[in-house]
Amino acid sequence: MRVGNRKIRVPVSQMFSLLLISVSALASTPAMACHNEIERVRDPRIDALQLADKLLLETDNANAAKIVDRHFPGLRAQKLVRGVLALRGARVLALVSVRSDGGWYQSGELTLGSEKERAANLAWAVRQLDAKAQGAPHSTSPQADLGEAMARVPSERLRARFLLEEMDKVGRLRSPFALAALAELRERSGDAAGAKAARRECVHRTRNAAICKARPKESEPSS
Amino acid sequence: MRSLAPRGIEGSAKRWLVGVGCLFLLGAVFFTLALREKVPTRTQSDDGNAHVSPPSRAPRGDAERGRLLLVEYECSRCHESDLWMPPDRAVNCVGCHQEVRRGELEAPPEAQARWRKELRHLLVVPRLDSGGQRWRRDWLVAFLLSPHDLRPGLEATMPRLALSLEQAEDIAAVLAPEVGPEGLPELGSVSRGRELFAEKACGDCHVFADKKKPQVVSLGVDRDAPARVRLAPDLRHVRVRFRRDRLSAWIRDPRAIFPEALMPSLGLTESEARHLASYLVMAPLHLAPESELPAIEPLSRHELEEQVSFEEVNAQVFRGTCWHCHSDPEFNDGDGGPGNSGGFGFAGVGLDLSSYTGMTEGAFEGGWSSSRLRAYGGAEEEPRRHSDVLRPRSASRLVRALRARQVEEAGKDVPGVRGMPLGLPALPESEIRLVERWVAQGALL
Repeated sequence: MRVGNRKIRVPVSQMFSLLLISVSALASTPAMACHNEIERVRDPRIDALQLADKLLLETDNANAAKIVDRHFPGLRAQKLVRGVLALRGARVLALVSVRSDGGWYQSGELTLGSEKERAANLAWAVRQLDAKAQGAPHSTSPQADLGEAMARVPSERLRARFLLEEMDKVGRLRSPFALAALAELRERSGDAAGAKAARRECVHRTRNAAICKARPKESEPSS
Repeated sequence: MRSLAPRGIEGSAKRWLVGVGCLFLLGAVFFTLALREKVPTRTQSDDGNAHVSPPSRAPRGDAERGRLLLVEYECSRCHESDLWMPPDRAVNCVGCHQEVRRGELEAPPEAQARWRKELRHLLVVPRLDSGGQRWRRDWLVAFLLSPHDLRPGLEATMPRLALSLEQAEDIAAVLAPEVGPEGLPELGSVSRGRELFAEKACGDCHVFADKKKPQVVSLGVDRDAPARVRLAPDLRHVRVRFRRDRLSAWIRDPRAIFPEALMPSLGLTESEARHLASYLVMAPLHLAPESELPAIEPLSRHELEEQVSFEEVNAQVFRGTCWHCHSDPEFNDGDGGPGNSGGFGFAGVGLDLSSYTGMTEGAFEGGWSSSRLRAYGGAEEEPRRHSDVLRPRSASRLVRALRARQVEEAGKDVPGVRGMPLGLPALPESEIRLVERWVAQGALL
């Protein structure tokens, strides 16, 4: 479905890889019985979230969002998502939106809406990730996710820079996505050497160097 | 008799002697104090009995505090005992495993069938109330502080907990309450005991390294063998583990001492039991086999260059083993297992090895003891900081923990590193190497 002026297609190869991953996840039997295994069997949403997390790391945003949308319908309608598993789902949707410049998965497609819609999606994403980060103040990845999301919102960039710089200073910035966001923030402030260093570290943290490349500036919503 | 020496000289000699005496006394006091705090160490005695030497002082311990510690260290995760109620399934590893084995768990049949097939460890574990009248407390203290393989039929061993000497003594005061001078064992004939050992087929369940027989190190691990076989201890340890005045009574009728004993009554007369006891305590033994550390070759260029994917290392190692205790609390009602949320007396270190993101998150450093355990004198913890368990690439904390378990199995400890998996056999060298390669290549997704 086309909303706004852009449409992001889910390639057949990605759909096929999703199918393969799903089948292999179901067929693999390395895990043995343990309480976490019992919970996983009882609640299929856990497997779904783990798969969505993995797809997100592999930059397969559309399929990550698709899985979450199927198991947690209607999250976007909630101003602040509640519940541990639902918030995990909201994290995936939020990061998908952040990494697609405010895009949203709906009716089987990841689409980019109007500038206003994209800004609203990003604001929603920051709100959910902020809630998640506040729930785990000593954990690295929720803070990095929040920093990455805030870096996409012009009014939050100062906060994003502060957070990401602080994390980088103590060597706690391990997400290549957050490192790329830091590089971008540094570039904006004219710190070319700092940006280069962040991109270099980003490349060290991933096999997918495309994550670390600078994004075209016109792709962002302006609000 | 009057001294011929001038008075002045006599006075200074006296002062010198008093000074030397004071120094000697001071030294003696320090020496005694040092001895009191000495932590037991592993030794191999001249009778070939590899064991942990007990602390060289009278046993002590507070049973009341010991009962609290049994709860704090979650002994009920693995052991049954009349000392506590069976815990909830989520923290009852052995109980849950037994339910899986019996097919009694509420789960889809296909999941249960898969679990039954995969289930290997923690199906049978000794009861903790079985030793009260026969274990030596000093042995138990030493064993708690530095556990070693006691039961060749089991793959799992007592985990190395973060116990202090004082805590071990408190726990031992509950589990081995009887102390005091042991009565002398009634002597029997070692050679007659040797004959009885063969006649009564003790070797069907037990290993005993009698020097006059070929050495048998293990009867092998048969997962379908009855519990009495799987739990049968290596009798090499009897001479340090048992109160000698109780040994022949135990051999004669174990169930008279502990009604739920797995060892059957062998129909021995009193004198036969005495002969067997003497044999177990006095027969010369083969030296305990030296556990050798595997020769660790540095990673070859080929190994470093051939890419290891996270998928591969996750399927073979993290998901198969580590995930049990280091999981994601959000997927399990807030409990990420002992290695994440805390357990077995360990404070939560927040290490999640169930996903790539969790792994890169690292772990909280320090804080091995929980708030209740800090009552034993530990200082209030400093704010804890995060550590990257995947760095440095050359010797990450993750790899060091896996290697430390190999060292522990060889009877040694690695200071500052707890071997993993806790209380289970070390991972095969091929799996450790796979993790090592993945880490060396940057631990990338």
